[in-house]
Amino acid sequence: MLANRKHPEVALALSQPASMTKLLSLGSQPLLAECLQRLDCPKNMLDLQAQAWMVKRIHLGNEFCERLLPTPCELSQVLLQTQQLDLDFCLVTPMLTDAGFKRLDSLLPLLPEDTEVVINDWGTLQRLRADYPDLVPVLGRMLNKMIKDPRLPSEQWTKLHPHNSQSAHFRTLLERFGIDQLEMDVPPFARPDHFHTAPMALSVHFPYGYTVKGRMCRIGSLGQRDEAKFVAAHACNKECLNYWAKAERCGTKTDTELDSFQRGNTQFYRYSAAMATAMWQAVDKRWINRVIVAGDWHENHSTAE
Amino acid sequence: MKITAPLSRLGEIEPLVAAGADEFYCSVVPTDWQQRFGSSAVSRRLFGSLPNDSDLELAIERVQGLGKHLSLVMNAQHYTSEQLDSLLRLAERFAHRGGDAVIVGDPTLLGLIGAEGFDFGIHLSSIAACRNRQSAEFFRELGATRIIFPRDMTLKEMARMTNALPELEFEAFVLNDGCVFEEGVCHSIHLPGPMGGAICMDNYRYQYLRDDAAPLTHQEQQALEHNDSRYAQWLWYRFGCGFSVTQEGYPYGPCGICALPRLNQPNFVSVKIAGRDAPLARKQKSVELVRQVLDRMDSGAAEAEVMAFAQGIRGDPELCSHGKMCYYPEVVNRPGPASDSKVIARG
Repeated sequence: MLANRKHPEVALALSQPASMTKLLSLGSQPLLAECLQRLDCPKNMLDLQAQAWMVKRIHLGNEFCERLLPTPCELSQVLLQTQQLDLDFCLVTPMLTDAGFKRLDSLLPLLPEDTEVVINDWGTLQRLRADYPDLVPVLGRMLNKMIKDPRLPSEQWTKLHPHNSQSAHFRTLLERFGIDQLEMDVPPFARPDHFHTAPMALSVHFPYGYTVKGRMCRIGSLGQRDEAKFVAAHACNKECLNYWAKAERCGTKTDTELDSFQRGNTQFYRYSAAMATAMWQAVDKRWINRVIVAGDWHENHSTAE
Repeated sequence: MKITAPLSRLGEIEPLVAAGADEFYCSVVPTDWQQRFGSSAVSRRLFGSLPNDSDLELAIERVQGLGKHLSLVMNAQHYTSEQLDSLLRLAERFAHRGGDAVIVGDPTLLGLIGAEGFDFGIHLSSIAACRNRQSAEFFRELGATRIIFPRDMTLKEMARMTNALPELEFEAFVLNDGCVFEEGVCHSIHLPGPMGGAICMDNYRYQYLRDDAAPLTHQEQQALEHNDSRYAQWLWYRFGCGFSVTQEGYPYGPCGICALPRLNQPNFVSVKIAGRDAPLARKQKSVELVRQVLDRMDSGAAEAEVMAFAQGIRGDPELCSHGKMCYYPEVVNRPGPASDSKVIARG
C-alpha cells in the first residue's frame, strides 16, 4: 500500500442502529480499526495506515431495502450517540415505494438542519427540495451509474456503457437540483482518473461495490410460505441480518473475476488489490474527499473461514 | 387501453398491426455512433435495433400511415456527454420526421430533451425505476409525459400513483421478458452465453453462512435448501417456463393478461409487450394474446369472465394457479368469494 497517504474524511457505514451501541465505549472520534473490530469486520480490511485513521461521521441506513430504514426512535437514539462521540451524521436512504416513503417521512423531521441525506431514489430528492430544503442531498451510488459486473474479463467491456459521473451534462443536472457531492463504488478495472469528478465532491465506498439488487429477496423469502416467496412487496423476517452467502461461479471463472457475495437482496463484490490501489492513488491526489467504510454490512470472511 | 409492441424490422409493422398492436417502440443506432463510441449501446438492449438509421423515417411513415404511434427508445441507464449530444441530435431528427414519442431512462437525457420542447411525448422508461409518486413528480418536472412502470410493482402500488397523478399517462408490462433483479439499478452486462450470460442466469453456487459465524443447524440447512429449490423454480417461470411456447405459439410468462381489467383506468393508457430482439412470430402471438383479452374487455364482459378467459387461452390453467408466471401474482393469490370458484383469479 501507499506511504504518507493524505487523510480523507472517514465515514463508517452502519446498516443497523444497534451497531452504534457497540462503538459507544470507544470514546470520541474512535479509531477506524477499533470500530471495525467491534463490528466483526473482516481482518486486514484496511492497510495499516488507514487503520490508524479516526472515524469522523456515521452513515446510518441501508441503500438496498426500505425495510431496513430505522424507526424514528432508533434514529433519535443514534443522533444522540453520534453527538456523544463527536461524530457527524448522515442518513442513508434506499429506493422507495410509496409505503417506504411513509417510513422516510417519519424520519426526515427528526434530522437537524444541514444534515446530509444520501438519496438513492430521485423521489427522495423531490421530497427534500419541496419540504426539507435545509437538509443536504448527496447522490447515492445507486444513482451514479456504471458497469460493475464482477465477471468481466477485460476493461473493454466497461466501455459499452461508460460511467457518467464525469459527464458535464450530468453535473449540470445535479447542480440544477442543488447536489454537489456524489458517491460511487470502485468499478472493475478502475483507474485513478475515474475518480476525478471535480468540482463535485466524491465519496467512495470501501471495500465493497454492488452489482445488482432485486426487489424480491431470495434470503428474505426464507420464512415465507411457498406462494408468498419472491413476489413484489413480500414480507420478510430480516434474514439479511443473520445470513449472507458466498457466491461463486462454477466452471466459467476468469482470472479477473472478483470475489462476490450476496447479502439480502443485493450481490456485492470485494475490491481487488489493483482496484483498491487505484482508489488510494485518487485519495492521494485529493480527488476523493471521503471514504465510506462498510461497518456492519459485510462478508464476514475473517470469522467464517 | 392500447397495446405497445416491440419493433426491430420494417417488415414487422403490418403483421403486428394486423395482430392488434396500437403503438410501437423501436431503437436505432445513429450512423456515426458505432464509429465514435465503439458500441451499439444506444438503448438498454444491444441487439434488436432497426438495422439502419434511415429505417426510422420509413418506420414513422408506415406506422402513422396505419393510424398507429411510434416511440423511439433511448434507454440506457447512463451516457457520456458526447453520447448525450448525439442522442439530442437524434431526437431532433425524430421530431422533424414527426415521431410520436421517445422513451428515455436516464434523467440527464430526459432533462435535455424535456428542455427542448419537442412536439412529441416523452415516456419514462422502466429503466428509470419510478416506484413512487415523488419520483414521478420529479420526472414530470424534467419533461416526462408518460411513466412506464418498472417490473415487480403491485397493482395497488400502481393504482396509488395513477390516481395521484391524473395528468400523467401510465404504462405497464403485460407480457414477456422478466428481470430477476431491479433493472434500473442493475450494473451488470448480459455477457455472451459461454461467458456466463446474464448475471441472473449465470451458474452461481451459494454457500450460506451465519453472520455470527456459528455453524448452520440441520434445520437451517434444510430451510435454505428448500428456499433455494423454490427460487430455482421461480426462475424457471420468470424465464418464460424455459423460454417455451404453447402449441399455438403463445409465449409463457411473465404474463399479466388476466390482470388487465384491474389496469383499466383512464390514465393507464397502454400495456407493454417486451422483446425487441424476439422473432416476428413471437411478437405476433404475444400481440394476439393480449388483443384477445382486451377485445373481451371491450365487449363488456364482466371482470371474472375476462380473467377466466385470459387464464384459459394457453389451455393450461394450472400454470396460472400459483402466480409464479405472473407479473401481478396478487390477482391469483388473493383469497376471494367462494362463488368465484371457476375462476383462479379472485376479485
